[in-house]
Amino acid sequence: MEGYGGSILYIDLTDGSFKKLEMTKELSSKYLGGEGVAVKIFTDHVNPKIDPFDQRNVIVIAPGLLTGLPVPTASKTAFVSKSPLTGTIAESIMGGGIGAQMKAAGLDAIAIIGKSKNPALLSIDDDLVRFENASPYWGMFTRDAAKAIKEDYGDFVVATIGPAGESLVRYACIECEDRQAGRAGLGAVFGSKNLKAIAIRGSKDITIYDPDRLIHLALGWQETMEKSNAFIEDTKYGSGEFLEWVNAERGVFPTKNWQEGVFNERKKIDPYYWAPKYAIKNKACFACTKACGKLFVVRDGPYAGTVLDGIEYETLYALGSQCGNPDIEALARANELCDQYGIDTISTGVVIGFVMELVEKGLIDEEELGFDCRFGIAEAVPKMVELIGRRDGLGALFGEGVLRISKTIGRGCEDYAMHVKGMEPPAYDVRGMKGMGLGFMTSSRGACHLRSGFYALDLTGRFWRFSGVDRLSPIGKGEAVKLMEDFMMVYDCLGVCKFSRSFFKIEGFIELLDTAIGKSFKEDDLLLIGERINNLKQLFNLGAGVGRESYRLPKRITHEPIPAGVSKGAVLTVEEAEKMLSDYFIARGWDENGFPSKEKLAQLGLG
Amino acid sequence: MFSDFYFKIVCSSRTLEKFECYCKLLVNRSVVINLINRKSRSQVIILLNHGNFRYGSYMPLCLVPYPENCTGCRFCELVCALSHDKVVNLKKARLRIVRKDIISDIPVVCAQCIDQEKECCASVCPEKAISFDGTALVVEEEKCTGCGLCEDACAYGVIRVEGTAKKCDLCGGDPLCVKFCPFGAIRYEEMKKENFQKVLSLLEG
Repeated sequence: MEGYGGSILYIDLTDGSFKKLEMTKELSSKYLGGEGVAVKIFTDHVNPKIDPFDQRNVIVIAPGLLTGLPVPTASKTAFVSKSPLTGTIAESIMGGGIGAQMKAAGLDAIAIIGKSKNPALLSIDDDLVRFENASPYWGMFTRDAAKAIKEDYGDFVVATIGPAGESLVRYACIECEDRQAGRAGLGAVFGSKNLKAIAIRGSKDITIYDPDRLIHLALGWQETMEKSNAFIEDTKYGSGEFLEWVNAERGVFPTKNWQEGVFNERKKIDPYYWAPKYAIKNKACFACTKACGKLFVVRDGPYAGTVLDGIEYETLYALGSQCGNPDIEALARANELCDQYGIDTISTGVVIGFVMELVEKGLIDEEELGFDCRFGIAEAVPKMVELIGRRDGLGALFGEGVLRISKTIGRGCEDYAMHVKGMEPPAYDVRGMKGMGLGFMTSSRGACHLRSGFYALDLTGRFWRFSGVDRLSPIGKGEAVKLMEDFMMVYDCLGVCKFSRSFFKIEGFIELLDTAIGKSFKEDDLLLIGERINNLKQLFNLGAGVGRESYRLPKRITHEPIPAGVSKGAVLTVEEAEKMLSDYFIARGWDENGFPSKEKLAQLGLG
Repeated sequence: MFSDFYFKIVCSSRTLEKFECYCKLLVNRSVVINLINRKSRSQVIILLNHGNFRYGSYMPLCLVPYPENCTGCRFCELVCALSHDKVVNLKKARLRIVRKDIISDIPVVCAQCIDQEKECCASVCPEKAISFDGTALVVEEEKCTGCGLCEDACAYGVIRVEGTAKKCDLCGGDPLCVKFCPFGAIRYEEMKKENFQKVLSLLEG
């Protein structure tokens, strides 16, 4: 099949066996590729009731349909498994080069089940699949492990976990080429299987339906992107370029564990300040000519020697404003440590902010912690990351995530434990962005901005088919979030970065797919595929025990208004949240508990 | 966008002497004129001056790597293979991006070793199958026996034998890798030996 690798590799780590099956036409036409195919394989093989750390849990890795092809920003590879953080099906998507190598080795997906007795390195060299001993790399930082594996085995692309994944930190990530599949703790699933890393390289051809036309189309998109403001801003300042605007013009930049919606010291973490000083060049995901990454280098001071690819908008919030931390160098070091230990910066930052509030409220003893850990103490942030990364002392508890920390500590702290379905929220204060709030609730992996991507609508008021969106109104959000979720799913199936959503929208893909795989889709066909996958995920989550109460937002969001700034007084009440959720279920054709109707499932071919 | 485009004039059929003349044109693609005739260089310059064009150096243009600008996205490799071999395959690209660690992404391109101070693909070829076509050192497929000596001789590792030798032909004077690099990590300009030296030392280091 044009554009595809052609096979799916099933690995059983328990007995070291593997088999290859064909990537079928049916799978490609119903699920495209990437996350869609991964979700289908995953749900076919996993009982929703099992524990995420059960060896019967499966992790599926699948490059998007356009990933590995010369389409600007088509860089993404999806990791799908049952999340240790949320207990739901979760996808985590990265821009590292693993997907392109998978396709070059003829693989559209790798499904890994079982548990290796000893630390294992899965090596895939075209058709050669090997289980190597990873004991020498166990305990290594992600960068060191990748480097050592390359030195020992050759020019492979390596996706690895760090010490945090090994010790099952519930929000551990998987790293490849300094890019992370960050969210939902899939690094801990690797760790639970004793799987340290995957090393992969391929040399096979991927055929293209019309190669010359694909180059022509790619040139056109490249030109469009280069002319856009987004290109200029992203390449200069990275994804944090709108940080000031979110603070000053929208007042929805969560600060100090969501006590505030504006970070007063934001100028110090704004990329307009730090990019010219610390960023020495642009860094990009695979096949991305838009390069929002920055090579950030600290040359002197207490954090000298810090080098990382960042700092992303979400991290500026999580390790910055969320902790009241205005020190960009401490923030950079904390970010680097997160990458090295292999933990998600967003969840880590939210945990740190939560701990700071617990310390301030006297619910955690600072002496037991061993250092000052209150809002605004910059040094505390990298120290906390190390504590969590090593799971030292209280770090053992902190590595469990906000939900489980709050349950252990109790005494009312559940009210300001910021999470939905157990996952810590990203940098959008949904009290002033109600559609995004609904997106947090309905996302299959808990508080997540990317399943619906609704922040684009709430912040600017218009996007794609939508205009005049009022961020403070709950009206019409149910249907809009549903449509956006289906739309965003198409991006995850194709492996295209969501930062390109204003370029390709959905119509741009029709021509690209026609050219790359020789198949013509209509816009509605693609949206229907998105809807099918979202329903499939919902069926799994229902089986895993997700009920109406699982969609609840943290009490701080529903009861404490934003205290100052442009969004002063904004709050997302329980009534509004319930109303939006009901609207959403109706738009989806689900009943009030989220069960899809028979007709809906039949319409989607899932019945 | 307003940018430099070039005219290429190849004169004298015997030695294939070549020089460029830069001019600023508000057109969206580069223009290549190959004049293979016996006019002397001075005559061509007069001709160009008459046309209000400013002429540049006599060095042929080549790809010049700027490792400090490379983001490591590898798009250049993808389009290179697709345009030449009509398939997607990073291994078939006529250039390579070497990622050593987080700091260095090294664009390794063909230097079109025209001045041939040291061994290169063209100088070691026993069949004299690699020669300068006025734009780049290209392989004459019918002469090439696929012996692989060129592959061993290339200091940059960017020539590969698959049946016959495959190497960078500068896309006939309009290199795609350059078009897809908005960061200027690979540029199409006059030879800068120090940049190639830098690439070699980064590869070793």
